[in-house]
Amino acid sequence: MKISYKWLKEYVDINVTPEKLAELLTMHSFEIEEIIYQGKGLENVVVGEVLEKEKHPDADKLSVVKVKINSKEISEIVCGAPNIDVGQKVLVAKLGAEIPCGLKIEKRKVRGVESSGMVCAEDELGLGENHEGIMVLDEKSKIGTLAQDILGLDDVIFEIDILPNRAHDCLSHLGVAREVAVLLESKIKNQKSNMDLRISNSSKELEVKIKNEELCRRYSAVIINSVKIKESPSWLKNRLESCDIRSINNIVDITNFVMLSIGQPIHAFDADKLNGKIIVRNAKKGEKIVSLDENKYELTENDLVIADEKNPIAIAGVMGGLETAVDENTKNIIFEAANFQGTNIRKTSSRLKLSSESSYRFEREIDPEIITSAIEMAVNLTKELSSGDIKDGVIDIYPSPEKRRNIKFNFSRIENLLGIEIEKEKVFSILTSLGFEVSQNDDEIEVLIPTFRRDVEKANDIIEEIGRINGYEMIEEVFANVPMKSVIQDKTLLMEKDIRKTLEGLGFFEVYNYSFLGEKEISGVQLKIEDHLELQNPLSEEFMFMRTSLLPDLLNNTRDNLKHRDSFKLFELGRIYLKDSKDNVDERKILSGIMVNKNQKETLFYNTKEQLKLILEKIGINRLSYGKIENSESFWHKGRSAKILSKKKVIGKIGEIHPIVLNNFDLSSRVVYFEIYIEELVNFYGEIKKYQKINKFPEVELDLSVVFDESVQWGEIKKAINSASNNLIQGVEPFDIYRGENLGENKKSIAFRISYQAEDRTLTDEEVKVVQDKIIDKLEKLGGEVRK
Amino acid sequence: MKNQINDIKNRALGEIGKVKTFEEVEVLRVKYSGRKSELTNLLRGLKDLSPKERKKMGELSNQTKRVIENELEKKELEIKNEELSYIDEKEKIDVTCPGEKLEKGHLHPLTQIRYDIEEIFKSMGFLVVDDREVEDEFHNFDALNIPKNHPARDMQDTFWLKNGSVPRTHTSSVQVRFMENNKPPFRIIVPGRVYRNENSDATHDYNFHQVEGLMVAKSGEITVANSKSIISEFMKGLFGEGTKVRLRPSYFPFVEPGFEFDASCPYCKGEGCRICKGCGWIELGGAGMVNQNVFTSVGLTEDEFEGFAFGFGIERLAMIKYGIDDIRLFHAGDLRFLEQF
Repeated sequence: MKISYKWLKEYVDINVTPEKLAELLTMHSFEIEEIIYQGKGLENVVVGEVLEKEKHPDADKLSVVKVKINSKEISEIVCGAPNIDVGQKVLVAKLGAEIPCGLKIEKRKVRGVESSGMVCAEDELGLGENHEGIMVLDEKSKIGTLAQDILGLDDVIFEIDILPNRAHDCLSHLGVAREVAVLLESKIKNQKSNMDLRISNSSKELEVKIKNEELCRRYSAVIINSVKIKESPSWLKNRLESCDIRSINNIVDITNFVMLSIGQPIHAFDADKLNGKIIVRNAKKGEKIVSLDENKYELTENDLVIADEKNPIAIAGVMGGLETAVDENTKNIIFEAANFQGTNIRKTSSRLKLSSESSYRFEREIDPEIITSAIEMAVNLTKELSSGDIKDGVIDIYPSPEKRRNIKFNFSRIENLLGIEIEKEKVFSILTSLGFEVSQNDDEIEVLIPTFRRDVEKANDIIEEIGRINGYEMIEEVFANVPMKSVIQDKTLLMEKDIRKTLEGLGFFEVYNYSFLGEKEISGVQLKIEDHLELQNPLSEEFMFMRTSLLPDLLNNTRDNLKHRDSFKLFELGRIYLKDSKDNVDERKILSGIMVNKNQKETLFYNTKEQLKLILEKIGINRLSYGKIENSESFWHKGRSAKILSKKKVIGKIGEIHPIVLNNFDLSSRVVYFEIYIEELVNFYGEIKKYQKINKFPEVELDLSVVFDESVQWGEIKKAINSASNNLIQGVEPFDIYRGENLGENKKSIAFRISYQAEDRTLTDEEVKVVQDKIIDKLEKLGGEVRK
Repeated sequence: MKNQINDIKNRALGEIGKVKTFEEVEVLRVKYSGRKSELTNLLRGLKDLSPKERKKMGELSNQTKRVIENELEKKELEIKNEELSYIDEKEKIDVTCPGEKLEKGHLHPLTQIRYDIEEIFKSMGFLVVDDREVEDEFHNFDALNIPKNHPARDMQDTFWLKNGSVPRTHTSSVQVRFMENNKPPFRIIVPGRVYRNENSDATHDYNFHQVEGLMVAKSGEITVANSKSIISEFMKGLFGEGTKVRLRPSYFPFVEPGFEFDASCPYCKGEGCRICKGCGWIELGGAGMVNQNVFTSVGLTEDEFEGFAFGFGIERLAMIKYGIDDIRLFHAGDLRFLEQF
């Protein structure tokens, strides 16, 4: 909220600079987001009178004027404005001025004539857009007066971030002034109350009925007759403008002024436009009202309205009706000051998408007690600015007045919570200055809370007040003296960190993508929309569903980055959000990665596979097998993909992405993708490694080359070889695969190296030959033919 | 014969001294120590000598042979060393040429900062906790003292799923889940992804990451002064030893009292610069003493425990630390950005 420094000064004496005040408020109350100096740049701009005007000797459109800028000084200035004339009172930027448009005024020659200053136009002073000509002031303006003073721009405005729990009492100058008074150890000035209003729950002129006392706790109204609607005086306009509120007319301005002063929204009706009494009631279903913004709103039974005997005349607490609005012909007005329940106002305002300064405040639950002073202030101002008189008094319906809360707690609790000892006298003076009434019984402190502090409900709320006013900077840092326990960190998180480190070592880039996807991405990878959790209020079509796969965005990343490089590896370790049969959320953690390399076609899959193997080995998963992926996920290239199993559990998948899917993402290079299910890995992780004796006996390596049908997979061959001996075969690695006409169609020749080793002896040639023959036998059973 | 042997020796040593190549050494080896060498030839005449003479001459010739062979070896080593002394020049390469290109991997800057943060807190005995992102209303709002229709919900514009779940608006929901299952005392931090329904710009994004901390103990065992020290130690760990921390009053429904915490600007050390907008402080996060209503909502007895909680955005820290000016870069997957970290 914007708070005026000058306005604050009407409530409390301020003996510090605006900067110091802003710092105090920031450290003890609310953050000051900005300090706006209204007259900034106008320090050297004064009122001057044009004494003489002559044409510039060398330029048609310029004139040379003599301007008197104080009782002694006359400046000669070259001016281009067509409207300048002798006798005018104008604003002159003196030498040395740095005016808001950025110009620095110096002595300089304009077409050979020396100019000492500048006569200013509106835009040059930051006062508006107008550059038609110079600003001409009222002829009564006094020569030499500072522009800031004549324009009323001598205020400093604070943009204050009022905290939500203090909005009920601090969205006003009085509220902020109360804080200032506490911080400066000063007092709120007594507000003059020079009139005795008769207040009662009935009035001869006006009848008010509250039909829903839960939603309207209090309703006050007063009729003022024979008012004169006119423009507000400049002091009032300036006050409103300093808070960014536009001046309308004296009566409307008074309502806004009261609200900005003490925080109570009030409304003025044209009394002659009402039909009978005022009724505060729930709207009827489908009831309509045109409000001051000239829009028509259809109401529901949940909305509260102010009505006369025929129609609703205001959406309670949100906005008044257009039909009963005050206009230039209004003679008699009714001021309404009421208290509405915040939650209800909030619902109505958000449903109608209609908010106002009034609804903003009511939503935050205002103190019903401040209504009396609001009415009084409005009446006083109306009498002052618009004459008018009151025949009868104020009608005030207030069935259950607000009670003050009483909170007791042990004095030691202050130190127990804040960790600092504060003297009793200090505690008392802080609480008293905040308007709390304090009493003491032995070690117990009892605090009576003023009605305007609706946020203070418990002991800790009061201790917070003591802590912040005393200053958090007074609290020393002290290490907690809490019993220590050993901390065993979460296994999954540790494993994730290991996985990330391995991936980093292998040259992968980690990416973070958003959790939401659009229909286009989902159908792009041929997943089903109905399997996705949908948002009620998405930001846009692109972010309508929660992702069930990291693939779509990784493909987007791949496409975007292929514009800049030919090969890279990406991974993301994050969550996917599945939907179970009961429509509940089933979150899973997943590691997904992509490898792409424009120069690798046949080897890319195998390269990726080896990297993945290494990652899994690093976290303790050594024995992998591969199987066929079920048809349900059609984004895989069926001939080049596999699920990965360990101990018969599917722990992930790897494969090329189908070209149809790649097309959907404008990709033409082959892409190998993998996904690993983190939850499935955790059981393998953290197993303690067992040392095995280093084998000292020599290893024998023998190569074989065998011709097989294409359909025979390496996995089967390897399994057959390994089955030939329990303990002598140390390893089998293929090193060449050959296809050629001499082998025949659908045949391949695989060459591989088998290493033999025993744990307890050097193997003899005979022993190796026995195993080798057994292997050949097994391979022939698979249809293999050993090449000699 | 003695003279002949000595003559051979002198000649041999003289010639060995002059040669310069392995080939020449080899020729001399044949000439002076091979089977057909002069010395061997000479020894054939030994049989004509008296046994005493024979023994004497035999010893002399063997000794001579050893001397010659020694010299030959020495010469060979000399030639080899001589040759090797030129190798540096001969095998000289252009060391400024690049080798085979290796791609180095990059963890996401948010991961890096997150792990830095975790290490600092782990060293202070904190447990790192992780839990679900999609929450129910109770854990995201109600249990945190944010009742339905409370204006405080204004501060968090929320996404809702059609099934009524909430992608969490803060990691505070994990505090609630942790407290439901663990009795104080404890100290935890919760890093994770959160969601806010706001349009993205250079400083806002709908997905971002928070770290939230919670430390709870018996009433009287934990105070604002303690929370200030933990936050301060953390800031020192992240920005360096001299970093200062200040608390300012603020409001979050789940704490009372509530603060915001600022750190002295790590760039200008509090002098005032562009990064801290001249004020010397950088706003980093929120904190406060856990509101008793939060304890009662997870089934703990009111006023039996006190605790403090704090939270901050990881993106913001990363932006300050690395001088990044657009938050959306974190989720753009652009390798030209990621490779800088």
